[in-house]
Amino acid sequence: MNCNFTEKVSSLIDGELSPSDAREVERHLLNCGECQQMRADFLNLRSQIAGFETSLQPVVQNRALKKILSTPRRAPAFGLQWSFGKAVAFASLLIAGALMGFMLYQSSNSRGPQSGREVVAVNEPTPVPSRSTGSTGSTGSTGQQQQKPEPEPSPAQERQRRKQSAAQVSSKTSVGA
Amino acid sequence: MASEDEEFTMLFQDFYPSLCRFLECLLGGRAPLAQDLAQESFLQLHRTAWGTLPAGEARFWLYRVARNMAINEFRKSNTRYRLFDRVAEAMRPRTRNPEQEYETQEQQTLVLEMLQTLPEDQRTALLLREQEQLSYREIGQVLNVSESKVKVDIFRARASLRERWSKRVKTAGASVS
Repeated sequence: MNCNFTEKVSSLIDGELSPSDAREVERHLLNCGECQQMRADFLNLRSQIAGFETSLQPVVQNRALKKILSTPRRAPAFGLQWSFGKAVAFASLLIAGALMGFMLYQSSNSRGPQSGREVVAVNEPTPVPSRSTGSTGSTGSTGQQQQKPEPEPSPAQERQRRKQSAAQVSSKTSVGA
Repeated sequence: MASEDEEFTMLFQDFYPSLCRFLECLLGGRAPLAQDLAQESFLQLHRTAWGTLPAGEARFWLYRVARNMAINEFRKSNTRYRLFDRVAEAMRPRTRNPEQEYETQEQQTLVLEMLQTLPEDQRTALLLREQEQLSYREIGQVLNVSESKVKVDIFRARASLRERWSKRVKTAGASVS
């Protein structure tokens, strides 16, 4: 056969062509004897194949059904019977729970560092302003001697100094008496 | 609402005969084997998959499983009839009209012989189309192939059978004359 429509004739009799393709093939069939014969032969084959009768007897069918229904079902793993719908519902719950947990974790993280900073700010001692106003540490470029500022005494040193001055005062007082 | 066993029974009554017919044509007429394989397919469905498949999928599942079983049978025993099958065929009850029975039998034998000349994938696709009226998409789903492969296989099967049928008719006509 030389016709290009032969495969389309097969799809046409199966109802698998789009409406526009089906109209095109039907128009072609009006003018092509080869395709007309092919369609007739395909439909004849269909009736032969579809008309095939099984030799199944009702008693055999009923016996098969009884045997099947009496056979116990195999239990799925871990004793759970899962249907497709149940599995989808369970998976959705898991995903929703995971998302909620993630969002809670994110919101608690965003609040946490600020309170830490506040505590640090309260606990940090107020810095004492420096006594000298000149630049520190340089002695040479202009030839002038610049005094290095005295380091601030620590609280322990301050207490020691006060004790010593109190002791000096009391000793002067006892000598004068 | 019908129980699971009642629903299964309805599915069985609807599709067991057509599954037997499909398998008989696929196996070249081995009716007892076809009925055994059909029963085994339904048994597997009842034991393991019933209640887990989406609605409407059970039929496709059955044909897929039945076809795979038939392929395994091809590998085991080629096309030879087993002795039991031949005895069972001989013992099959006949209709009251022997002449009609003879003609029907001849016609069906011819159909089976013709189908056996096709490659297995073409034969299966054609049977699912002509006997079960499945669409190309549904056939692709059962056989796990593309729609375009189904379309091509069905066309090639028809073209091949058409050629053999016409040769057979010519030969029969020549012998009569």
